[in-house]
Formats: sequence, structure tokens, C-alpha cells
Amino acid sequence: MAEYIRMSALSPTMNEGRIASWKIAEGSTFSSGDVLCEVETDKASMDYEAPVSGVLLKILLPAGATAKVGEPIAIAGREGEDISVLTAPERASAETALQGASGAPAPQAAGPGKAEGNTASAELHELPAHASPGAVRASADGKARLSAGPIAPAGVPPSSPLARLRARERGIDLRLVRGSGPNGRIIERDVLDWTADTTDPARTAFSGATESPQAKAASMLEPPSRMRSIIARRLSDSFFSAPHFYLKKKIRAQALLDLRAYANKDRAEKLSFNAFLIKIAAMALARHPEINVFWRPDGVERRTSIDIGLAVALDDGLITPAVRQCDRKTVSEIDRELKVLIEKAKKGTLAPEEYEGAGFTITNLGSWGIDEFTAIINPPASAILAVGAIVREPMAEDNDHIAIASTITLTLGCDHRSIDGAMGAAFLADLAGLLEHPAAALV
Amino acid sequence: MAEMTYRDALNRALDEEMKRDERVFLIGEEVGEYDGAYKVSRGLLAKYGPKRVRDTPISELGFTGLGVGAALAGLRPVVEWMTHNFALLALDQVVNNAAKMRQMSGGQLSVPIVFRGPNGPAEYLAAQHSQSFAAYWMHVPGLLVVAPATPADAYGLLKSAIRNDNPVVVLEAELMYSWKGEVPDQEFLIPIGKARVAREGSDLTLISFSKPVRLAEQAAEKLAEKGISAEVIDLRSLRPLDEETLAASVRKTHRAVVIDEAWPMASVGATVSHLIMSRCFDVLDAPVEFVSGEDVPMPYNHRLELAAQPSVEKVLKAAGRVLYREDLSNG
Repeated sequence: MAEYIRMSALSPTMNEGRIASWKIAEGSTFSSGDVLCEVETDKASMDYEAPVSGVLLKILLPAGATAKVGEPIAIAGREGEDISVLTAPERASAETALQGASGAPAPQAAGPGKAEGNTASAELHELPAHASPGAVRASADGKARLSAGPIAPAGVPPSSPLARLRARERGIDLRLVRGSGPNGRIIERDVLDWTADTTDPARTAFSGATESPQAKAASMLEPPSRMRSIIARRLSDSFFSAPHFYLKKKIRAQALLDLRAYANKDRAEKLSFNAFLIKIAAMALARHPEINVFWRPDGVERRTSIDIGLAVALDDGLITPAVRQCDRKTVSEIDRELKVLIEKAKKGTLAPEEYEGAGFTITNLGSWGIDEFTAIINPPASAILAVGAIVREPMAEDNDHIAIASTITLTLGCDHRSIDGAMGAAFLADLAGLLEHPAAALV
Repeated sequence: MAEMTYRDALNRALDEEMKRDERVFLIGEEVGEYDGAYKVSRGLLAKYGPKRVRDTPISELGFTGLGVGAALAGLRPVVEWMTHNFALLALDQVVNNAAKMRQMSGGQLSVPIVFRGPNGPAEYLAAQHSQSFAAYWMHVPGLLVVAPATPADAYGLLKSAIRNDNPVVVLEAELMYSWKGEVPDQEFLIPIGKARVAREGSDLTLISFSKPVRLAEQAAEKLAEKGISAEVIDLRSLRPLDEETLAASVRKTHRAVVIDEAWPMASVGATVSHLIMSRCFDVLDAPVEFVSGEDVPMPYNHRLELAAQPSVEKVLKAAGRVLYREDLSNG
């Protein structure tokens, strides 16, 4: 069946294109992938590859003329086919009517759900020749576009359900993929090949102009690693479903630093600062079991064991290995376990039972000199402690004199579904007290 | 294991079931003295006598109704239609009596009857004798419909049909009667309602039933030469239809071609295509292709007669379309 070939969005931002020259003459045969014409866009000059095979029955838009994305530029089909339906005057008037609507304020959508809210690209759709412009779907830029007959390549290209599934799995923007199926339909193979071709600019989205914007965009978009996908999903789930609130407290760190210095005096392998933090946090959690909880859809689950996760940065993400029953372990036991877990984390050999199920998490960016920061709760836990750098700064003493002190700013992130402000505050106050006076943990 | 023809496999099933259960009897045109129009009932009259192998006048509505009555009265008739083309005369007895009695009597009555005979086009038989009526029977709740494509399935499914307490329509085919295949010597049944994976594959699924299953297998062979792995599903049972096997296959291959030698409108193939679209939509990479008989009364001219039916070439082209391989779809 004869069908229109339409101006295609050769880059995600392209709204219209000017035909620089036709490469296939009217009446000539072409194959899918042949260059039909050269198109100048706002950014570059690009080859327009044929989405289908056939005969170029009629050129509608001569060289030098401009068309908006989605508007017909030629008619293709089988040799000798009748194209009168596609060139009939009423069709042309419908097109004209539509062009009248273009650029005008967004026409009233025909019904609820018709307006395309946040897609920046043009939406193509079917419209009978006699339909009024009022039935046209509006796109975000307020412009309306028309498609008749089989859908041709455009801002949102046709794609098979499987191709869409594969693109979702890989985080690929379908607008960057060239469809090789009928009418430019994107099929599974196109998505899979596109993934494999990201390093080869000559074979990216559109061939020809290797410096084109979409070739650059293609080479910049990296499919997420498995770890990146998991981080994205878990932390989005946490941040967008758990109502976070944050409590901040500056503590004097000198007693803790002295304790660590004393404990490490004769040790070849120094106890890490994090091991002390974990131990003292465990002592505080033992006094506040209402903080050591999981938020579950059917209620708040109190943890019977004090398991604390520590966020460990990796080259390509992060992971939070957990030390179990921290309240029953000494600092040196915690430190020993921590060193093994961190080693495994960096090698990527942690078993799920070594990083899952922590009821509380500590994340420490002190080594980067970060003063203070907020963190996203590691679900299903309900709280996370963000620890800043040890800072030397002037502090008011009890006698109103000012002295230089070592301080650390703690930021406790809580899930308000399971922890209220006063509960979090009581815990943080106790934790701060224990950190400032570690000996109090004995009491 | 013996190799035997489809015809002899049906004969063996009839013989065994008549021996097993004296309520089973065969009735139809030419089934006795002539040993069957296609020799399916060869030797049965001599073995079981005229009470259990009944020749009838040319009166499909009459002897089909007689069969339904006998089934209601406690016998287990096997009604042979010389072809399903002639069964149109008996449609009322099958649709309005056999298929309805159990439900309308609240389960007090049952109609344990088998209707069997050749269905679909053969050769040189022109418009009135070359029709596939699979959809006519499959359409009707209350009927079971099976369509064996191999001698072993013909044997196992006919035995299951005779032992089933519901009316079962068996679709055979004139050209299949002489096809040979392995049939185990040991007695066995093939359950009604289970499709057969005739060939395993990973790139696309070819789905058919009855005679065209062989076309699908030949097409799969050709595709294998081009490095394409086609799975072939033989539906075997049209009602109930084994949707699970169908869906599992297409979820694996993402592409399906349905082959049915009947006319395309409101056909078995159309229903199967719909089921695949609705059950597998999210994993399909191409619209389901449907290779059917052409939508015309069968031409008598032999070239046209062949052109009006599914062929390996048509299946390959359809496979090319679901695989987006122009070299296949144009070749």
C-alpha cells in the first residue's frame, strides 16, 4: 500500500527540517537503509535513511523546502500504485487545517487523558481526513501534528512491545534508536544492536554524520550496570516513598579521639574510627530499640538483633555490608569483621547475608572533608546516620570563653512512618552524649 | 514399535475399543460391506457383525440423530461421516442435541458419542468437497474437538474420544490416511486438551493442527537451513485448547505464525492468533502472522486449487515477516 514518508525527528530536539537535496529520484526503487535525502536541521545536516523498501512514487517536498516533523515529504509504495488517495485535495486541506493549528495555543484536547503532558517530542497519531483540528492531540510545545495512514518515523517512533520491554530493561531512549521494521517500527533487534553499538559512532542511531548531536548523545548514554540499576531502584523507592526528616547535632569529639588514640597506642593494626562509631551507635540503639526497626507494609517490625550497616564506596557504586549484634561485640571484634567485609565489598564477593537486613546504617564522608550531609535511608531500615569530618573550630566553653575544639556534625535521617521527631531526637541526644563521653557507655 | 498408516492406526483404535467395550458400535455410510469409504473400518464387520458395524442410507441427519439417541440410551456410538462436508446436513443434531443435552438436563443425561471423518481439502474435489469445518465444531460449547496430525495421535486420541463421556468430533483428512508413522505396540491414550511440541526451537513458533502440521515441519526444516530455529506446535486438541503450551512457546520465541487451511474469517487460526496477541502482547516483537486458505470457494482448476491453500512458501514468507527478514519474505 502506498504511504507517506514523513519528516523524521533526526535528533531529539528537532522540530523541523529543510530538504537539502534528494538522493533518490522520483520513480526510483530504494531499499530500507538507503539514503533518501539530505536534511538540514537546526544543528546539522544529516542523511535521512529509508525506513522501508519500495519505489519513490512522488516527492511532495522539493529540495530547499522545509517541513515540520511528522509532515509528509514523499509518497512511497509499489511501482505503478495509485496514489490519488494520498494526494487528494481533502487530504491536503486537512493538512493545511492542521498547520493552522500548529504554533497556535494548544488546541483543547478531545477528552481526558488526551493531552501529552511531559513528552517534549511530537506525538503522531491517526486522524481521518475530515476530522477537525480540535480532535488533535496537543504535545507539550503546544503544537499539533497529523499523521494519516501507516505511522511513519517521527518523534515517538512505532515500536514492538518486545522492543519497548528491551529498551526499558536497558534504560535506552527509543527516540535514539533507528527502527528497521515496516514503517520504521523499532524491533527487538534494533534495541539489542543499538546497545552493542554505542562505542561505534559510525553505527549509532543514524549513520552518515558521525558528529551529529544524536551520535554524541548515543555515545554518552551508558546502559546502567546491574549495581547501578539496583541502587537507582532501591534509593528511589526509599526517597520517594519514605517521608524523610533530618536531625542535626554537633558533638565534641575529643574524648572519642583520645579513646581511639589510647586503644591504638600499642596496636600494629589500628582500630578504625568507624568501628568506634558502630559500637557506640549500637549502645545507643540498645537504649532506643524503637529506632532499630523495619518499616513493613503491614506494620513496624522491631529488630531483635542490633545489626549496623556501613556504606562502602566502590568504583561503580556503593554497598552497605552489615556487622551483626554490634552491642555484644567489642570494638576490636567489630573492626576485624569490618575489615573483612570491606575487603569483600571491594572485590564484589559479599554474600547477600553479609549486606542485607541491617536495622541501622552509618555513612561517613569525613575522609572527604565534608562538614555535614544528609543521606537516604537504606530500606527496610528506618534511620541512617550521616557522619561529617572532624573539624577544628572555635566553640563556646561553659565559662563563656572560646576555645578551639574538635567537632563532628551528625545528621540523623529518619523515616517518619516509623519514627517521630521526638523519638529520633531522644536517640540522637543519647548517641551524642555517648560519643562525647564514651565512658558513659559502661553505665 | 511398528510403522503404520494413519488409516490403520484409526482401525486399530476402533478394533481395540470395540473389543474392550461392547457398547461401542460404528455407524455410517459404507462402513460395513465396503470396509469404509477410506478403508478405516476394514475387517470390522467381519469381526463384530452387522449389529455393531451398521451401514446406513445416505442420510446424515438421520443416522447422526440415531447415534445421539443411542448415546442417550447408554450406548457409545462412533458415527462416521464420509466427509465433514456432508456433516453440514447433521449440524442440528450435533449442535442442538449432542452438545446441549448434558447441560440442559442438569447433568442427568450424557452423550458419549464420537463423530469422525475426513475434513479439509484433498485434491481435485472442487468447492463443495474441499472445506475445513474445524471452526464450526470448535465454536460450540459442549463439544470436544480433536485433530490428530500423526498416526500415533490418531490412535491415541480416537481411543480417548471413544472413552470420553462427552460428544467428541474427530477431524481426520483424506490425504493423511496413507501417511505413515511410528505407533508404539503397547496400548496408550493421548489426553484430550494437550498440544504437542512437534519440534523445539527458539526464534519463532509455527502453530497448526491436522494436515498442515506437516507444512509447518517442512517450513521449519527450510528455516533451519538458514540458521533459524523454529518451534512447531501441533494443537492436536482444538476444544479444549492448550493455551498454556501456546503461550509458553511464544513467550520464549516472541514471534508466531499460525497456519490453518480453512478460510481466514472466524477460523481456528483467527482465534489462536487472538489468544496469542492477548496473552503474549508485551513480549511480541511482531504482529502474529496468519497463513490461511484463501477467502474463496475452492477452485477446481488444480493450479488455482493449490494456490488457494497454505504452502511451505507462504509459511516461509510469513516467517520472514515476523522475523523482519526481507530475504525470506520476498524470496
